[in-house]
Amino acid sequence: MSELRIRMYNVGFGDCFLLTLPDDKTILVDCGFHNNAPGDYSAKELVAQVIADVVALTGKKWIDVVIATHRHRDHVFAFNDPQWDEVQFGEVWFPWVDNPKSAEATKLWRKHHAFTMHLAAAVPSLPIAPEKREEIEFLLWNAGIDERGAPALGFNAWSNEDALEKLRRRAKKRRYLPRTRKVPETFEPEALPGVTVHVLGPSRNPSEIVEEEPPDPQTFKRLALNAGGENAWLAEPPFPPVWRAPPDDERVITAADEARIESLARQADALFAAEFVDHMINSTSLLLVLDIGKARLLLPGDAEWGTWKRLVPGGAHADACKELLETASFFKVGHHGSHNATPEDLVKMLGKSVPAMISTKSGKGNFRKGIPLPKLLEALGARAVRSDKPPEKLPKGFKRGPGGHFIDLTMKC
Amino acid sequence: MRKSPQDIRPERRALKIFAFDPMVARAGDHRVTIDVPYSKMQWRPKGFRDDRIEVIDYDGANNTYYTAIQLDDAQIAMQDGVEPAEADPQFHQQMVYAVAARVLENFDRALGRRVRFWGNERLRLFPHAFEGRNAFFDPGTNSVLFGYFRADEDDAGANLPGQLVFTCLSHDIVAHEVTHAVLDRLHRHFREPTNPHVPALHEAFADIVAMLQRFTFPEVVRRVMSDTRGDLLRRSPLLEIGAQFGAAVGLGEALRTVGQAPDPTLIARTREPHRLGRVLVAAVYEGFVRAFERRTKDLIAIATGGSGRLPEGDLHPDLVARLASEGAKTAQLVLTMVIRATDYLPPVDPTFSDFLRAMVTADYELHRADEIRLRASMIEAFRIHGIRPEAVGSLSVESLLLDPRDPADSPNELLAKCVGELLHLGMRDMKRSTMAEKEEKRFLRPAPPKVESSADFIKQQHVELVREEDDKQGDIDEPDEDWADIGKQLGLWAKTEGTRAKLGLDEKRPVQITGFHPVHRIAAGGELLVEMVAHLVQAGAPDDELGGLAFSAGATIVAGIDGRLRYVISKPFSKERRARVSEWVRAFERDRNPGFRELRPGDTLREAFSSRAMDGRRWR
Repeated sequence: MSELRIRMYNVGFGDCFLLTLPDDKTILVDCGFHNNAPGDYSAKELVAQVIADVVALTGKKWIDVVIATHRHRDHVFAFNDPQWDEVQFGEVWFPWVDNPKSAEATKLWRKHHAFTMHLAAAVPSLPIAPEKREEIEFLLWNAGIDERGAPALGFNAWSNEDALEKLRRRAKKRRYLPRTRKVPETFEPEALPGVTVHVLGPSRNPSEIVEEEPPDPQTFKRLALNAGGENAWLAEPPFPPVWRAPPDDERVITAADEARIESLARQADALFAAEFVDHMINSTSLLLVLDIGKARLLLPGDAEWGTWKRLVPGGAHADACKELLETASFFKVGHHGSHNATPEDLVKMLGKSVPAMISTKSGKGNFRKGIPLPKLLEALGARAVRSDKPPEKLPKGFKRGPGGHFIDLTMKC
Repeated sequence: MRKSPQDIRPERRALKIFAFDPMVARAGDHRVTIDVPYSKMQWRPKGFRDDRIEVIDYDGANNTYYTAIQLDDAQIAMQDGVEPAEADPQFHQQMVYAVAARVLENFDRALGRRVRFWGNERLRLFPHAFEGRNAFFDPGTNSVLFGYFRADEDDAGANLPGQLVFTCLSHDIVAHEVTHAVLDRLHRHFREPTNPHVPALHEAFADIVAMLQRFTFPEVVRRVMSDTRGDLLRRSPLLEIGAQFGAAVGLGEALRTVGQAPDPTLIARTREPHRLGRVLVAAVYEGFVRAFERRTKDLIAIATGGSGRLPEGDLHPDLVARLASEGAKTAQLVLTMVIRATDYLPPVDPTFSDFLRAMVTADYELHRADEIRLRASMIEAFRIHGIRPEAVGSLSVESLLLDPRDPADSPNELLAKCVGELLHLGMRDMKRSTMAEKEEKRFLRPAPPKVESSADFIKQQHVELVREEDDKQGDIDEPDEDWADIGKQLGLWAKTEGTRAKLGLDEKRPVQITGFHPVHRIAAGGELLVEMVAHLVQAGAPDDELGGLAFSAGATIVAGIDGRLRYVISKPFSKERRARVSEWVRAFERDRNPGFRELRPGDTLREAFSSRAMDGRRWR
């Protein structure tokens, strides 16, 4: 009887999964975690561990397929580590938006790049409550922008592009998924004989990735300008000084009205904007179903409602995806167990008997948004195991690694 | 005719504007001169104002005032205002003033009274209030704030990448926002999104007024008639709303184009208010075109010798002129019908069906004989766009009319007194009264609070809609004594036993008079009729089960000068209606909150449909 092993490293708030197939083929899904909520590893330790595990299994510094679900740091950050320089990858799979040659993708990122840069430039000067600031910094860091440092202005430096570029260079073959608008898009990778891949997300349609228009970049530009300092490159008033009225001339509106107009002109919800960037990047996440023998693994990355709603009952592709979802035999819980990455309908379709893994870390701080959600854990049932607090007695098929630094799930396939 | 050499007060003031967005205008000359009612200006370097509009060019992002234009300056006045130019902020001021004045005039004419704001406040226009892709109405200062922004670097359409785009230079955006302001004044409870039609109606109504208003500019219509050969369903710039805006933000086309093929199933499938609103705009436009075609059928027959087929090539200029004039007249009729419908809408929770019935009734009351069959055209247009009137037996005009009250109903003395006094006030407002002209008093509303977050903005707008359920609160929110007096009497009338029940309201709850207006119209027999329209609301408290919305009841009454009720249009506290609101809130939550989060709808619904958020999505 052939078996498949899924190893979840306890990285904290992030994802890193190593899949081992019966023929000793290996698949690495993501490699990262958030600095504010790490688990048992530093980046260096994590990469060393993954490489050691692969070598122990196959004797080679070779991984057949690496999947970078989306470009958030808590998923790709550790790909920057120099230890990877000694490892070769057969194929690397990215969402289509990470294809540097796609004009459509470039257009999509450019808009968000400008917007996020302005936001990052403005945040230090905004009056924001400390817990909100913490949350904004958390989100911006994850998007690859450290707002305390000077934001890099080049498009290429944005949003963890360096980690992705390393991956691209290390790979024999790169796939940018999906290639078409067909949902699901199915293919059989040469690197993994006998494995069938169904791509359910992200949407190939840019307007479905960015469903809502971003908050207005101009506001942030303006805020950054008013904060003064080095950001004076940002903008200039619309009319030359000759048109201006003498500032000390008689008032025509009260000081209070003037203050209100100013507050309306300047008020910018930085947290909302940071969340927008975060959602947008999550919406680019790969959502894959891997058929490996009899096993069917559901790997949604951090796909959010925007991606899911096309697939669950009522969605445009619900009929085409129904069977894939209903017959899944493993579920990687999306987005560390957050509220909008796992639709209730999906949990109903999966049923309680499907083993699931949640790579997460609970703790204090607004930025976590109560992740993982207790209601979700309850709905998933006893076969769902979380990385940070696994139960004393693990369900059937699960096994704790040495020191509890990772958890293995072995399943027939 | 002048009676003395001193008699030089002009009736109208001519001003140049862009009839189309500057980008479209570049392709051909679409600068037009429009005229607005003349009123004397008061000028300061930081702003100018007439008796109802105030233009203040304060840039809140730069803390700077741009010097106000002196429209009464002889040199400026003799050239109908300064030349249209994108780089001239004073032209921008002139344009927002002109378009806003025209919108208010259209409301005055349609409603048969002068639109007045709370406490005779002026409507303030800030043509360059902030940097951003939006323009919105702020009830806190009774202002419309216009943003400016740089065009998309990647995809600017016919704009220069990075070029400054001014929302205040779009006739449509100005007219749209001013209409929001007036509708909010007439029906402030329409801020409460108790069903998807409410925000959709606000948007669509503003679009319809903007679109039809442009159809009343003869210069523009003549040109379009010539270009489209009288076929108003053909694509033309007249039908494009917000052309430059759409191109500048990378949409590659005008924000939306009306006159598309109708899809009657769309309305049932759609909850998103902008898309829903588009259905209503398309339906009204279709009705307008049908009426126009009926009206010009004879003209075309004469011009073509009965064949109905126009010859190849350019149309005869006389024919174009006649078609244009018929088009402008039809637009004015439809505009009047649409605006007047607001008097016959319930004060809370309106639907498209309510709007259709209000339109038909308003038009019926104004023009009993409907030679161009405008009402039937409108009903048919609504039908093919899938907007079905509720609770009517058939689609005939008669069954769509709101039910008039039994004329044998006994008159009410108190009510008769209110209507009588209101008549005087209304006349005084229009300066058509022999009453001693009274110094117009203006009231300052309490200083509006600052806005630190978008949640503040939302809260402020709803605070005044929600009333505690006690009788101590005033019946009416109006500082002017003359108006307040009538409001108080109306309040007394509403409190008399049996009145509330008669209006479909709850006998035990207090009533707020949210508005009342005199209405003058000429009856079929030629005599002048005077009526009063009043809106009564029983406001509920925020309700957690309804996502924090307040479930309110209300009635609009139309009363004659004899103290008889002619119409009562009410939204009672019914279980069915509550269930509908609740269903809509749940559907809204389902759409955006699919997961395992604790349900905390709170202000999300209001936030999503606030004036600023709606316009934010609308204008980008």
